[in-house]
Amino acid sequence: MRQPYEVVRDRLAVYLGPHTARNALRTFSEKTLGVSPETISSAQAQKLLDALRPMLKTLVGAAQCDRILSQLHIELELHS
Amino acid sequence: MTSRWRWLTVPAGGAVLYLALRLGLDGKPEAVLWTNRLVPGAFLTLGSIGATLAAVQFKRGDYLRPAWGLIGFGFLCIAVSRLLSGPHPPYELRLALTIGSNAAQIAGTWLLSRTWQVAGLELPRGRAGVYGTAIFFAVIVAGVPLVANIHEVVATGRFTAWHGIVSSLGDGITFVLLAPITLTAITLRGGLTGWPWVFFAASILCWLIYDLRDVVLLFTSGENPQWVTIAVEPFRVAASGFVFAAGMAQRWLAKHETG
Repeated sequence: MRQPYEVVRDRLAVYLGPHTARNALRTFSEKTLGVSPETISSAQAQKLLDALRPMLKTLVGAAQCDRILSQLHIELELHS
Repeated sequence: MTSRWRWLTVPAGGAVLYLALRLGLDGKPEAVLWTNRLVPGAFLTLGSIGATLAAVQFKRGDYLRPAWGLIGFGFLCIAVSRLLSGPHPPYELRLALTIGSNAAQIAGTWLLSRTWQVAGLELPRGRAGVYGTAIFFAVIVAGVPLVANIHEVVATGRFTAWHGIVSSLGDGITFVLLAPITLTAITLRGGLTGWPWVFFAASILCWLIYDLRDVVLLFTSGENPQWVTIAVEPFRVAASGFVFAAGMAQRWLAKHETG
């Protein structure tokens, strides 16, 4: 079974590329949650999505950002 | 072939179309004049349409909306200016269009170039090298004609030299902005968001090659030799096609199904 961080990472990689998805996840996880992304729970991953919102909103616009994050929330809920 | 790769046919096809028409119509001055006016004019318009379609895809308040909108407006101004070219062009109107297009292009490209900062992206290493290269080519391609045009205005007061000053200044700034745009494209490699940056960087690069014309003309004798136009005009057509491709990639991205 995939870890929560893998769910977020794989989805972000589609948009940001694998390298930047990994970096963004690490940076925001450490900055927002104070832990490395590999250890986060589903609930923490949900919080992480809010931290990633400004980045995605800038690159794809508010409407598409909402769609991506909603999809990720659903994936994480199914995961937990 | 994915839809992103399919958009590459626009700049490549445009360049080939121009070359085919231009070489096929060689020896027919009237037809050559219309080819030089209409093919670049049509593709500049296409570039404007692509960028504008990208802009309207975003909501009010989205960061990239004004960036694409300004680039679309800039290309529209250049397209009109190109279509007004010919044996007796309206110089004042063309100068106004050149100023408008350069101002809009610089503002739009500048907004695009700082997207990485606004989004909080981390650019790859080797930034200094990329910036250094961009500044070097900007000085060569835009700086040399800029100095020559300033010299011409001071020496002769010729009105057409102002057109060259504005163009060179705008091009120089845009070429420097190629550095952060290329770095953003590299940062987002492998992801859907990287495509608009890849295509837009390719557009600036083609434009840079097109602008080499002014440098070549400074060092060639005779009045605007035809071979220079034949060699560089396909790059302007391709640059416009790449902006269309960038705009469509951005538009497609905003509509992409997330599921």
